Amino acid sequence: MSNIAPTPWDRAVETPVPGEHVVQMYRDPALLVDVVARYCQRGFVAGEAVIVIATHAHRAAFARRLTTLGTDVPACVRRGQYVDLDADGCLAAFMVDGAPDRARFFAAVTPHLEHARHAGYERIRLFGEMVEVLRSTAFAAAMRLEELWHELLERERHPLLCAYEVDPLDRLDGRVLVPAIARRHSHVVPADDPVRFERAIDRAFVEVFGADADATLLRQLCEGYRPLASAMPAAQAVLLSLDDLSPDLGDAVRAVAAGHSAGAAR
Amino acid sequence: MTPPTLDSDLRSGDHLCAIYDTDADWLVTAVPYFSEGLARHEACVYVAPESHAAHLEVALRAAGLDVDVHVRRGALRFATPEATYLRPGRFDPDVMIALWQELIDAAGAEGYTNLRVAGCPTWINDGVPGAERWAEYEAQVSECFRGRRLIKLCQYDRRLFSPTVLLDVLRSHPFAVVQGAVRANPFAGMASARAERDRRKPDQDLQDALTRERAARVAAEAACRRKDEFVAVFSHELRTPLAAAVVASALIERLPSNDPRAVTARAVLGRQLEQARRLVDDLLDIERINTGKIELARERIDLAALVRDSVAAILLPTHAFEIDARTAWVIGDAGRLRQVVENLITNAMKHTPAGGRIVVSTVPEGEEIVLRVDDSGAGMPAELLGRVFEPLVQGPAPGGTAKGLGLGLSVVRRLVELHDGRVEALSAGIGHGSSFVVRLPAAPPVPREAIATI
Repeated sequence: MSNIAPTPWDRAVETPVPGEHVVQMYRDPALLVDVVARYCQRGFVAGEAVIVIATHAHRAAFARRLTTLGTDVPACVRRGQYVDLDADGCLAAFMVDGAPDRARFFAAVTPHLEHARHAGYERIRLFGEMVEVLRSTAFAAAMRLEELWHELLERERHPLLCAYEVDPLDRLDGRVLVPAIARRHSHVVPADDPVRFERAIDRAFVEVFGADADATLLRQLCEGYRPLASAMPAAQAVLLSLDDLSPDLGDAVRAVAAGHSAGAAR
Repeated sequence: MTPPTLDSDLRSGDHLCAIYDTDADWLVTAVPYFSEGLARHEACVYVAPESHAAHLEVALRAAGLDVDVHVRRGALRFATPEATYLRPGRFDPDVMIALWQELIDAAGAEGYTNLRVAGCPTWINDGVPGAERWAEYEAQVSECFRGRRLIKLCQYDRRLFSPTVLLDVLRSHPFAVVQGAVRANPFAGMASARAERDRRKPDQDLQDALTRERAARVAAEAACRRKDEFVAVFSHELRTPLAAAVVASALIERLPSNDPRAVTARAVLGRQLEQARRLVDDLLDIERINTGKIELARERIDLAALVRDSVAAILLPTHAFEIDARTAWVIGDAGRLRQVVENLITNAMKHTPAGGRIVVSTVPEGEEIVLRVDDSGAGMPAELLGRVFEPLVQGPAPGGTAKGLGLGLSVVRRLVELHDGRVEALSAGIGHGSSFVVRLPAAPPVPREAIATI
């Protein structure tokens, strides 16, 4: 069980608003299991159905974690409140020539929503990691799939939680993957521990830009430099701005922050 | 060891000397020596003053050698001592041995079997620096080139060298040429007078030299570490304002010019570049002072007026300034003294929290003018007082250690010393503020007659 303290970002995971498209980035798979189990359990408690589309290993881990949280998983399944689907099987249903086919995607997903509604659940939570399965080999296809999910949410007004195993303090992940992922979600939770992430970026910013009043001003300017498509911690917004203003300095802050974050984790 | 005969049996590594009484004796040895060498396809070099070389050339021609052909092929060369032994401007055995090795290698590369050398080192009698090491060099040649592709004949005119030198020469050559024939040298290997004396010296000399060398090495390594540390800190300190300037500049570029955020970014850019400039200026000043490149434009200055101007220029509402400046004439460079005052005030501001008090005063005391900057800031521990003027040393600042290289106070001390003054730091300890006291010689009073003419 993780010992992550509650943060403002827990709200986005535990009580998402219909239509929200939240992404959790993680490095530790145990964190993913913990977050998804909380997401599901809060849904069950609120009388919502939960549809999980995940890898075989993760589906088993989620069920085990839900059980330890006191959820009678078989009963939820019997009631039609908990539907866990295999990510690879779903992908096979709508991937055509390495890209998601829009019509097939809707044809594959919508029946499960209908089924939950027939079981008496008007409010449905979704968790999907097909995008993470696709991401390592076909990033563009993963981003296209995100857009299809977004379209579905616009129409159906259900909340969706996605997860990516990426490190915002890694140079490549931080520069390339995080901005692309952030653009396609309403809420971005960028790290295993948002508080530690914020502190690491704060310290790195001071080391790279100094501790004087100008550095504080500069940080404020970076935070509000341009409107963001998604809600995210200020530290992540600063990194995205720095990558835009001076990618090398973005890398410098990420590198220093990674050291602090690793030190704090120890 | 069987001695070789001069005209046929010389082998690689042979080192022989010839002591002669007349020019005829010298040529009797030199001509067959080089004739044989050229016949055996050896590269031959004769090192001697040009007059000697001319004599040898004539003798070689008379012996039937086609000197021009050999010279043109590079098999026979004439070189002066200035171009060989004295090339570095003094005689250095190590340099010379290295040169022989180079020539041996070059001869080998051109297909010659040996390098065959002869010479008359009359120049060692001319008081050339390093010439006292000649005997040592001759012994080294025997040692270093034993079995190597060098054959070396050293010729000495008995009329020109002292018996001591000749004795040392005999001791350092395995073979000697006597009346045109090579003989085993019975003196070879015997210690020279100098070597004997040196050997008898107690080991203490060696120990002392080793100790001095070790101490010098430790000091050099420490200086090197300090330099590395300084470069690392300086780079970091310079990188910080430059990084801020880069981001501010990018923001200015992307935001509309009338956007308030662009206005803020412009202000940040200006301040950060100014900070970077100050860092570089301080560093350059230290370098200029260290290398004596700062020239003071001395004039008669009222330090009190200079203090009032300086405080007015950097006065900030963050601190409570008090000025107690009484007329105080000094002879100095106005620009540099202003730098002293400003660095001391900036230092006080850096180490004093907002709202703290800074007092600047000038007072004549006897034949000195005392400039004081007192602050109610972070103070210093006693052990820092003596070191605070060194580069990289920083006192505590509000909220931690101060930023920067700590060059400002180094510049202050060096500029004050250039004005024949001194500076000291005082503090009752951490949390009790600091004082910096500069004492400069008071300017002599202006003569009454001079005043009358004004």
